[in-house]
Amino acid sequence: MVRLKARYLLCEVCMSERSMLRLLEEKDIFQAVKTAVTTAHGQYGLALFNIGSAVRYVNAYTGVVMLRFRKAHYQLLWSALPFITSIWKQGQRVPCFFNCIHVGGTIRTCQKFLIRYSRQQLFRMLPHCKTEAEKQQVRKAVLSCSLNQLRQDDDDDDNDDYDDDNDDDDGK
Amino acid sequence: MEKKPTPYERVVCKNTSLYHYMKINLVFDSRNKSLSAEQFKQLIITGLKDLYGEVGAAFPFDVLTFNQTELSAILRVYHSSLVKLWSAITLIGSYESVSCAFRVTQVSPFLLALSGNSREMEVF
Amino acid sequence: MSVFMDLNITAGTDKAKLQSTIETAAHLGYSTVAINYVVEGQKKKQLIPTPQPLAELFETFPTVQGKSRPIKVLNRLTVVATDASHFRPTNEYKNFDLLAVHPKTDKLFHAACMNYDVDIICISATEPQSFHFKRSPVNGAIERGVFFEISYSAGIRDPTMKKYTITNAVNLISVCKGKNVIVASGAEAPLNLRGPYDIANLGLIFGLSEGDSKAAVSTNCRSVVLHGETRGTALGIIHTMKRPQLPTEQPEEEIPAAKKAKTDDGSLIV
Repeated sequence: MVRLKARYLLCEVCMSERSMLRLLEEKDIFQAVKTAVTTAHGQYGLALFNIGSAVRYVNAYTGVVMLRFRKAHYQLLWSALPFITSIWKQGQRVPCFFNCIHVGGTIRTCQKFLIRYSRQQLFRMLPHCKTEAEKQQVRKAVLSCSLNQLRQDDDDDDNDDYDDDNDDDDGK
Repeated sequence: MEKKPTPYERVVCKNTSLYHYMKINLVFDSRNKSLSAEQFKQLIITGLKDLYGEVGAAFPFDVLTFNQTELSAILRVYHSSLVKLWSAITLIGSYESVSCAFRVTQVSPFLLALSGNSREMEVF
Repeated sequence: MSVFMDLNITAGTDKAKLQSTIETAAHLGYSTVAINYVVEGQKKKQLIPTPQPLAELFETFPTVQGKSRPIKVLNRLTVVATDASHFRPTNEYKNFDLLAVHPKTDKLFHAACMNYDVDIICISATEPQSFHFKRSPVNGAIERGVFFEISYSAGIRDPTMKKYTITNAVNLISVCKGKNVIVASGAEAPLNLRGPYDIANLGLIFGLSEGDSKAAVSTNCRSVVLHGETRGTALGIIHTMKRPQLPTEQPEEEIPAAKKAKTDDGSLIV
């Protein structure tokens, strides 16, 4: 069976104000990427973009988006992503930039990566906590997402994750 | 470990040269259209920008000769961007809303080869 | 070394324009061109045009660049089908050397690939494709020797059409893997035509390999023409024709003697 291969790009949308992230929507991101591809690669880029490209996942809280491109020409389309400087949202320009954090072949590998990445982000948040209550909350969140992973992941992956967990606890 | 310099060097000629040369001709519907070398290059760059965007507009290429009466020119392009430049030239359809066409007479990795032309030869 | 062909030159009402287009094609090095008559399926009972007799078009056909032979001109009919009823194989279709169909829906595309007795299936160049190319009908068409045509002049006439042309071409070629594709102009004016080597290069950006993209303007076109010739025969072995009572426009006369001899040979061997 032949299948059309795709590449999934996990990108982090970085905005100056975190509050603006809440407004993130699929179609705005799609439009922003489309415009960037058109300016960078012209009609040819646009023609390739129109084949099988999509925004598959948007997380308005963390600002992580997942873009889907055809494997045959994802490198050309990827090269346009650094040129995105702003997203138009309801007629107003929101300055931002795209930071690509992972390239995967399936949604599943991207999901695995994203869970691990988000947990790392939580660890990074820990030293910034001011009160003990906040700290507890973050710790709880860390534990909850590792539990999630326990349910979803395969055996070997789980082992890796436990190791990670222990290391981090010791470090604190 | 100390790395010794290799005693001999193997040179492989893959028969590709860095540059390619294209002999092209601009054809207009009306005879009396004339344009300068700058406008000519600008037309090609516009065509590149339209098809390949800003990346395309940045392709380095040179107009070596330009004949204003016949609107023929010899371009020098890097081998790597030959296909893109050529396809952009192919798809140029108008200049200042006058329809026009580029006829590529000859493409060669050697400039000297452009002095003779087998394709223009008329056989009777 | 095979000759180049451009199997789509739009037949307009302007005879002088058509003449100059064919002259340009000959100058650019095309050995064979096909004049394309388009029938839109929407209108009820639209008459199928009868091809203009070629003798009226030129006194002497222009000589092909680099060859000493005159250019060969064929007639071609394109049926734009939005409904299954639009494609009815009638006797009028037999006046044409080549028969093409431009399916607009998924079902018709499937039928065109698997059943219709046509030579060429056109791919739209001016609008986004309304359906996906599926592998099974495309493979069926390749098996049957039907070719897919990409026309490029829409992209030259209107720059915004480039993206549709490229999108549809890349889509098609990724499905058919570069087999059974021809690239033709669809030119209305002399300046919409491009040289055969330019088109071979253009094929590269559609995703064809170098060999396939040169075949798209040469050997594949030859297969189309031969397919068109055998369409009127039984499996290319037996060919029946009415004896011309009156020496009027008989399209069979367009087939040169050399080609006829070939089919005769075939029948003898079998």
